Amino acid sequence: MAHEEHAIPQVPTHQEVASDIMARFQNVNQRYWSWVSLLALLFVGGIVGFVMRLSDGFDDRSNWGYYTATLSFLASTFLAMPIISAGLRLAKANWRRPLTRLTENMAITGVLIWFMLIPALIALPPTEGRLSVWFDFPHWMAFRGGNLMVWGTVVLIGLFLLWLLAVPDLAAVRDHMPASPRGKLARVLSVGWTGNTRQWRVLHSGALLFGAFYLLLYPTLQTLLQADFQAGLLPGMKDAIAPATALINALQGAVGLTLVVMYVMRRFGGYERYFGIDQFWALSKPLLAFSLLWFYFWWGSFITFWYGRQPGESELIRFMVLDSYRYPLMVSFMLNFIGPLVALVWNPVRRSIWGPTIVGAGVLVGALVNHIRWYVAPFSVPDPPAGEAWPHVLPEIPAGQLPGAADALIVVGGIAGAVLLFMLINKIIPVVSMWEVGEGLRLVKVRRFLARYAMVIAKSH
Amino acid sequence: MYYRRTLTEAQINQQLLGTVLTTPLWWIVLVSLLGIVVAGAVGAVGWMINQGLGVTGLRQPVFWGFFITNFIFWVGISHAGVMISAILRLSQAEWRRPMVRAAETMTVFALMASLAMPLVHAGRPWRIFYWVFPYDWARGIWPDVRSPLVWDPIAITTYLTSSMLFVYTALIPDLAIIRDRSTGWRRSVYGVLSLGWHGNPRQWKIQGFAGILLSALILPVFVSVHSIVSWDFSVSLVPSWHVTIFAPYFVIGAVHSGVSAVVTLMIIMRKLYKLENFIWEEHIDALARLLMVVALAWMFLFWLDLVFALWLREEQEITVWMLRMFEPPWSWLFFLFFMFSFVIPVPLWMFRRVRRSFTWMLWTSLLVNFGMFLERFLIIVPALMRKGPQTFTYATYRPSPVEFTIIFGTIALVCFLLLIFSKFFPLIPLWEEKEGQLLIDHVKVGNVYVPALVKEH
Repeated sequence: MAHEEHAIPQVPTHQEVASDIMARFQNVNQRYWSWVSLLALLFVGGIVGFVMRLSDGFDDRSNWGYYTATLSFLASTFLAMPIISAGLRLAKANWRRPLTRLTENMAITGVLIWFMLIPALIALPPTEGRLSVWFDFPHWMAFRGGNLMVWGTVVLIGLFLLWLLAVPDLAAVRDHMPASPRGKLARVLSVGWTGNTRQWRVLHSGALLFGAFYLLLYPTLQTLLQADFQAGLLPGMKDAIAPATALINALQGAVGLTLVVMYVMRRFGGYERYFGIDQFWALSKPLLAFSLLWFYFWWGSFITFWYGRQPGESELIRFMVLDSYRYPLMVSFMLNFIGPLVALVWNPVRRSIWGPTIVGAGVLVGALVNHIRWYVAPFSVPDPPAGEAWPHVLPEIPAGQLPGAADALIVVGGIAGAVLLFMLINKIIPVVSMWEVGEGLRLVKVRRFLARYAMVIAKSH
Repeated sequence: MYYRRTLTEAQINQQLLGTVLTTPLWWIVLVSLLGIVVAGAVGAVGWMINQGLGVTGLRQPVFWGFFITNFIFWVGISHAGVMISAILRLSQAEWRRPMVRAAETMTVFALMASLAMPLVHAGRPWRIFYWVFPYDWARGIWPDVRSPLVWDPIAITTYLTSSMLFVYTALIPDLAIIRDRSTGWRRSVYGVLSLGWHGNPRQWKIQGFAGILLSALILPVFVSVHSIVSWDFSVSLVPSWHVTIFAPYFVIGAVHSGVSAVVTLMIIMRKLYKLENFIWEEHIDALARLLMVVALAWMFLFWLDLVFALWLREEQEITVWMLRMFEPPWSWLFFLFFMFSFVIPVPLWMFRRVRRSFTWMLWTSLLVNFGMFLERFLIIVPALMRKGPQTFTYATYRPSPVEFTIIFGTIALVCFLLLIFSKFFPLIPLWEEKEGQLLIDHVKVGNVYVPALVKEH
């Protein structure tokens, strides 16, 4: 990058970077524990909310709408984050290096998400007599077994990627903190890493291969989430674009969350030199692109239904867009499309720390509201009378459903639980990858370019 | 490893201006042959206008056939220019440099070919004016502005105008170079076209800014064009057309065929114009990687289209898909489409050796475009054959020789126009190449020197 000033850019050495990251990793201060305690408390509150819902049973599916919305929000933000690292690694973007570990560490939240999936699946009605992407597959083998398997595979691949890419750093932790419990854990997890050529080759190939698997499987997860938990419960819902929309929204949410977490790590964790303007600037561009796609995909669906005017389509538009859930849509429309467009179209905003962070935070709020619209609405549609097939048109438009105390506890507790897991894993695996940043430093040199100094970045193949 | 071959500015000028300043024999032969094919197509159109649409294979209930398929095909090809030029320019992908001009130019000529198709399809082309002018002054009947069929010409002409502006803005520095190397009337013409370009810092700044601005502004037009084409289909209630996914599905399909067309064009250009110093294995490799991503995204959307078509278990919807997939001759065409546009090329592109082979890439990119033509054909014709629950005629559509002549004529027309363009303007931008050379460097990693670039944000 060409420097604004005429000063010669300083490139730190690998040793300096490794020492700095290790020092921050070893430091577990009072503030960290305060945050962990607060999050744990909120998570316990979420469990209380879950138990309250459990005590009501699964007969009334509308009780589980907010729970499912929380599950889908977590799966569409936290669980989508490893895609950022896998995608940027495949694209060989050099600026990714400081932030890949942060996104990979989020894969740990998959454990919570997978367990949360089980009650949500139980709340779903049988596939008999209704539309389903599983068609005539037997009930248990179909959406319950299938979902558990697909989601489980995504979670496992995410965890495997997290571990594989952390092995060199775990070996560093093993060598520098041998006596501590964390050092002992690192000894086990680093599986005898010595950094020989063969090990590095395996690591690089594995990262590309499993990264590609994650990229390919995640859309399937979103398809199942959308088809089983939304489209299958909404009479008249024939929206082929919806899984792709959900995927785009998930990617938007993942970028938004990455920006917010980078800001927090920078502000409170002392990681200014790693999460700099380059990372915020570079991530703001896909955020703008995903925001435009958010509208494009929504519009693509809306215009087809609007022009089609089939009874099922008209009722769905009333329910999801014009009537019961119009306010959540408006909030999401502002925060996921208008806000990012108006803000990020300006280069000074994109090229700042605060600009992309504020937009990213807004995107997350908008995403949560949109997930509530997407999943609370179908869960509030009552089952047809016993023995009757599911209709193709909404028999009546249910009113919008506001959250109860248990719902609020579940939403807050679920998010808190995911953040808590992320904070805990950061003290087992360094949140900035020492080896990846170090590798990047070897590919950079400073040279004079016209009247300035510039960084020259090698493209390794 | 980009920019491993360094050239001086004089070498770049000499090699890229060769065909502009001289006329090789092969060029004359090729232009003449293509001109004959185009003339044949024009003759076929004239005959069809004289005789009526009965000379085509269009019959009740199929009134959209080869012409509309070809219209969509060329609109799809036109997406290459912006995909390559605008997106890669905005993302500062260095490997874009040798291919932007050819891709942008192909966009312009492909759009011209596509615009000709509805005129031909109308049978009586003057009736097209009813789309934009009042149908009947006395009764005050106006075209329905709510119809995507009216949005289509507006979107495509906007895209054509902005694409031409895009090409022209990037041409200005090169026009000045040709001006300085020509004499007589040519010098005067290039002098006017180059708008007094001298390459001072202010001019470069404005030119660079215009390039970025146009890139950003053209992107919404790029997406909207094929989306509107898709809405021609999806807002109707014809089975298998009335689906929400058509807009992104059409756009990504267009990018798939468009980028493949760029690959074909680059390889042929390299051979004909001896551009080995500018178009390398690395460029084709990068395009192949891009194609793999695009093809996977396209397949995801195709799969969603299929699954959700079966989702409602509606008889008509299933009938159309069964017709496409299992009843000859449509099933054969479906098989070919699927093999050519995905199953054969994508696994092959996973191999580095294939990605870096000009021969393999030429054939696989041609396959993709053949497959994508079939895809558009299969979207249109079987759906119209079963569009009503009580269709009393099950006559099949079979394109006539007249239609084949016109379709081949459009392919020849685009090639013909590209060759004419290359006679007057360089197909690889000189200034982009020179700028690229400035950014070359190497970084020593261990014992090897790795190619590196100065990244200017």
